[in-house]
Amino acid sequence: MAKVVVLGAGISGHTAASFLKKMLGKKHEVVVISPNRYYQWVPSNIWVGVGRMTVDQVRFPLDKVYKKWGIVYKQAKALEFFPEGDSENQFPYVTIEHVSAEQKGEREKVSYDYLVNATGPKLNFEATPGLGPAKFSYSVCAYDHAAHAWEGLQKAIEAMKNGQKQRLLIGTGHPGATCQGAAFEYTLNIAFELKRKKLSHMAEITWITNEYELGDFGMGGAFVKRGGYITSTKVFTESVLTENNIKWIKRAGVTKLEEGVAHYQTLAGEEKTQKFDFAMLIPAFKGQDFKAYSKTGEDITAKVFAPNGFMRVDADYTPKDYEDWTIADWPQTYQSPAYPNIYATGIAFAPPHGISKPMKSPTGLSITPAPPRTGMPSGVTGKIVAQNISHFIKHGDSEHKHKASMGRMGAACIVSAGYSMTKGLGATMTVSPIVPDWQRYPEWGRDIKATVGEVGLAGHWIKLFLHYMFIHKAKGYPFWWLLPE
Amino acid sequence: MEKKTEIRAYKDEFYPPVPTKATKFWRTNILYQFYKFWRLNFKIMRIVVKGHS
Repeated sequence: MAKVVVLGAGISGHTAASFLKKMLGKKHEVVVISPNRYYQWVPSNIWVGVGRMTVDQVRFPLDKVYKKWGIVYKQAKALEFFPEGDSENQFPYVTIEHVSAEQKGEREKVSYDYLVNATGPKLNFEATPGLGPAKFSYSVCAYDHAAHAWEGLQKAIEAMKNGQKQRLLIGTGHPGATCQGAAFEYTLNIAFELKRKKLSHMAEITWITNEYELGDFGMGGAFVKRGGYITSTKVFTESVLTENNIKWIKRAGVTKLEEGVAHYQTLAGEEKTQKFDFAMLIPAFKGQDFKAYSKTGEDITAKVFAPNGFMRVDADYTPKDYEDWTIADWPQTYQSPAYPNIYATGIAFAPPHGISKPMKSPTGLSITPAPPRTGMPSGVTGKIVAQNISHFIKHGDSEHKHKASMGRMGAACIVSAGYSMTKGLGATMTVSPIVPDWQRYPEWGRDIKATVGEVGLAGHWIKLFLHYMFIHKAKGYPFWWLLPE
Repeated sequence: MEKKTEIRAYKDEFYPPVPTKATKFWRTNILYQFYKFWRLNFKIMRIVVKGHS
């Protein structure tokens, strides 16, 4: 009997665990270790942040689903990796610390034959002094953060109703932050809700971003075939913001927050401030600060993890100039080069480099979005790793039958721009591949026929449809495995 | 009362295209958007299926 341990139960980890159990059946053991007892459909958090969905609509408890599937679930956080075992244990293992009320603080060694690290990002609020829900800004990166943001937004709305103009600042809260899409959605949803409440004239909404140009979204922007023209996502994004009377500050690295004031440095090196009454700013992401040790107890963290804390996989991490980046640098199997029975999926793997062109201010501050790995890539990488591991276990093979490179796979991003079944809006954006392939597509870097950028009610329906479809899938309801990632 | 947005040249907000009344109408026209829903879903599905082997 083989034992597969999955760390994390987000989009990637939950997908990996569900397919592993389905493919391996009762003969083998699948263990999921996650400190959060809920699965959350992160893309809908922005609707929690504007009061259009409740927290319980975007999450559900994991234990019931795992019990039904026969997956062992431990509500705990992983601490250390021992990929060679130690002097007492010949099998590799991870040390975990339980966080459930019944076992809080208990430590355990969990051995494995295969390990899938799908622990997602650590929201690095500490990287920007004053940033975060406990300080001067809000976040929509988790359901509880989004619920908290809704409380803050309601106060701002009340103030507007009482005749006080409010300055709302939404965007990225660190010079190297990613996930611009979520912040962008939140901005548009706020604008939509204020319009619905006839309060638009009482709000000054500002979009602040570390992108060189709007519409970069951490993937170097894209080109869209639209209305007889090929247009950049810069134009598309600026158009959407202009239409909603949202101002923007681009090429800005937020360096510090104080009560009601965001300090930022521009790419030109200027130190500026932006005042706000309500701010929702996305933090930088980093790995989970795991430690790894060899059999003799030697610290091998640097061998297993990149300096940013994400796990090294089958990518080419050789430092290269932007002009030399190719899709061949990107991983395909997500296998650790140091330990072949360890994989990292979703946000947990270390990207070889960015996708957006690196930019530095004259003071040396890097103001560049990190590459996105959320949503579709997370689900897809979770699934192919599950398929490969179950193939190895069942057939004793070591060839990866399934591959998924971000230089080959496409992605759809449905940017909600207002929640309503008849008046709602969503911007549907698709790109293929995510990482531009300039050799295959020398003109635009991507397949221009597969790239879409459209705004309309259909986009809102698709986003809502995906919400219910993925919750259905994650809960293991009938035919869940037929639904694509 | 809603204040009408004034867009002047030489400001960033002037340069991007803004939708006409007709574009806004089609964006929320139920029948047209119903067609778009299926068309966009089909495009997304093609990307998903092509994305991994």
